[in-house]
Amino acid sequence: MIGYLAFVVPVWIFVAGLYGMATSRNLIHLILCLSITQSSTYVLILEVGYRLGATAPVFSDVLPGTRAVDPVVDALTLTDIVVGATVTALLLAFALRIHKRTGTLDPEALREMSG
Amino acid sequence: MNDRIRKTIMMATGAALFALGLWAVGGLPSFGHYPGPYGDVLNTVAPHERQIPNIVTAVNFDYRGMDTLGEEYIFFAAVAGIALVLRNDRKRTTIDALPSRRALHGPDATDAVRMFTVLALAVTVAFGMYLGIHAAQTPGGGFQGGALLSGFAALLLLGFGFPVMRKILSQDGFEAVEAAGAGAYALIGIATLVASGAFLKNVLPLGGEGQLFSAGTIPIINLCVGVEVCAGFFLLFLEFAHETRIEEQEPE
Repeated sequence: MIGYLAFVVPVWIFVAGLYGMATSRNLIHLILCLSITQSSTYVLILEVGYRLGATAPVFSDVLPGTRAVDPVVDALTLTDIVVGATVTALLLAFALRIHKRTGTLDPEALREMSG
Repeated sequence: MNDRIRKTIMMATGAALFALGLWAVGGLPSFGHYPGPYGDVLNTVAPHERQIPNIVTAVNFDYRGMDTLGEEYIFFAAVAGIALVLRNDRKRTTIDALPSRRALHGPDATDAVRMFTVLALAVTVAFGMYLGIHAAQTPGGGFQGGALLSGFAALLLLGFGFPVMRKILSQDGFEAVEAAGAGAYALIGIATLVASGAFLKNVLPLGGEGQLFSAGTIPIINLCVGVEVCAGFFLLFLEFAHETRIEEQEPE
């Protein structure tokens, strides 16, 4: 039961982030909600590779062959975080530019696309 | 569509999505009992096959090196995109801070803040380089080390202000360094392709496990990634710091 609850956490983070994005009234808030939604994937794949009582897959202090978690999902998460950070930065740059052009960050006020 | 309707619709679809998600994760292997087999195979084989204790690094820069190359270019493209978006919209800027902010916070950072910044800079540089270099031996690596090192730029901006930051960090220089880091990764791939017939095959001598120069091409690729990530984040900080400057000419 506790094990199942651990998998509920990423689902909750995902839906909460999505709700924040859909109801957002500020582009900065919207971008942060997108980051939160994305972070649910880190939690999910790390949990899939987790093993009770296991160590990190770095065999410097422990002997090779010690019970360790899945290194593949760790590697995926690592690169995922870097890419997530840069995508957030790119979106923030767009938000800056929109604010400069229109003077507002409210997505509701940006009814039409204008060149 | 007003806010109330939007929230109601989102509540309903969110609840449905949540239920769907609960049903979906119910089909996963039970928590804490990773079934394998790939992670277990790597954990058993990699320490001897590649003479490397950190299996995550081995996966990133060797077994899955092709993917990491792609992800590095996502990073590269994002930084280039940010530079394009921000510079395109920017007129000539002065190095003076925005007037309202200057009135709010007083003229400059105090000596205490500067002193603390210098201390923090030393720790950032030392720890960032330590993390970046010891990718094979410790849970470090180029991505983490490079990102941490780039805190250098943020600290400079906070403690000494934009003029000092711009003087120390050359934009043109870091553009070249970032491109060199990204290009070197691809060139290593091509060099190994020529040498062995397989892209990014680990062709160099492996050395002894746990030593600084071991695990073949892994530490070299790691260094390229570290340099690229660090220079890329420096450029990001420079671009966003530029945005706090006053514009000499009003945009039309």
